[in-house]
Amino acid sequence: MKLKHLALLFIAAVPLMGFDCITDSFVIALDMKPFNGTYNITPGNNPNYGGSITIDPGTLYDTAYELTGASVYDIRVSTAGPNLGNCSGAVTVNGVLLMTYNGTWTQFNTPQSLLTSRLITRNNSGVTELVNAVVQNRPVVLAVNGSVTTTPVPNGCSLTVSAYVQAYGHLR
Amino acid sequence: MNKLRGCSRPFLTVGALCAFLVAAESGLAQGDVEKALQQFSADAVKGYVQPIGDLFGANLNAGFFRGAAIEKAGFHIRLDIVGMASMVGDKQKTYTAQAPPGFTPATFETATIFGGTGTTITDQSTLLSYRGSDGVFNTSFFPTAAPQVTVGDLYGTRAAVRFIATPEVGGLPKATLWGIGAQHSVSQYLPDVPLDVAAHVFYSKFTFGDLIDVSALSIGADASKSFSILTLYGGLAWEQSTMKISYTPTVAGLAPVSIDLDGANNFRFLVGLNLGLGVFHIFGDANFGSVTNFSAGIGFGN
Repeated sequence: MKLKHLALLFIAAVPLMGFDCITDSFVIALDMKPFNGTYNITPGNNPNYGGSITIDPGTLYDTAYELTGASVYDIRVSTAGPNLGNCSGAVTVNGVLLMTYNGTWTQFNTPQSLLTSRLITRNNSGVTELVNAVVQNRPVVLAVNGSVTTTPVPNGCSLTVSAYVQAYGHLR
Repeated sequence: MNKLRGCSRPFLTVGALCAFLVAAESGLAQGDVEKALQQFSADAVKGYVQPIGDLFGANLNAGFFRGAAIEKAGFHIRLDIVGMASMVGDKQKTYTAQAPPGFTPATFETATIFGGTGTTITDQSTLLSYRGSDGVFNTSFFPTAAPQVTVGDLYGTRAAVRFIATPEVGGLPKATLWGIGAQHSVSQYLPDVPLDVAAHVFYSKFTFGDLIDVSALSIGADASKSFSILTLYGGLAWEQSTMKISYTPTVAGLAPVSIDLDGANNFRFLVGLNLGLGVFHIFGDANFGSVTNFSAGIGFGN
């Protein structure tokens, strides 16, 4: 019995010595799937386009985590289809202006990033609304209103907005 | 500021093998660690968990021998309970992470799984922010323990086996640690050398469910000198270890992760002392390399 007790004591002691703390409520950064909205531009002579898409933030991250914060770390705009001249518009989140964009259609054929492009201007109120919607797990209505300068618009033209959000949280 | 959760509960299983099991016993289920890792892509997780590979690899290659005196032929048997611990240094607490494309700065120093609070960076032109995850383990060293049996001596050779396993229980997956190796007396060929000299090769493996698989190999030269009940021993070894981590990220769009992380330690010098009181032994050694490691324990046998 003595031998067994000694062995058990030792085995218990080794992990306990110094290895005594797990960080409680450690925060893990969650790179969420981007908020994507693709808006088709109606073929024809109307230069204006728009639309909205509703996204549940809970579908974009592991909901085993309780969120404690979030941040927007990029917004990208891209176009698909042949040249439609100049392309401009505004993007809103739940009715709050998130950003405006203005450039040629072909420039946006290459995705433009808020981090590197001068064609996109963000609005802080919209960024705040997006962050709050994520943390509070409210639906996000991502809407676009814009126009092009070249008509008629052929088939297959669209504009895509992607908002990249990082959430922070700990396991429930 | 994060609170720290102490491990006040006793360890119920003999297989208190490693950080993950320790974490589980302290109330942090292995599933929590796995869920934390599942938030990372393959590129992002490497730096975050690399220290586990470094420290675990160093542990697996430690504590195999307590001397180099091996007879050409004779009866030797000994059971040791060996604890190994690698020091968690500052270099194990941070790593260089990649910021999102287009961010300035493009890289930043943030916490590893052994670090503190994750770093938040701000893009210089847009003032958008991005942060790293917090560390999970707050500890000064990373322990592993295992029982080991050595038997011999035959043709100047002694075999060592270590094994410990825990079944799948309470949501924890099955964990197994095993090792096998041998020491061969070099002194038998060099009778004039005043020290006992041997060569060794040891291989170890640890698996923890489907999440982690660590293998380690050590090849080295050992020496010892006995003074009554004390044996001073030491050695030089080349070693290698690899930790394989496999999981499926829960973030949609991220590919399943299966990465190999090589341990930092490739060479070690060790020095230790064994106190023999009849069949009872107490031993300890210090190991120096890229990772500083200590092993110690008690033994029963000749």
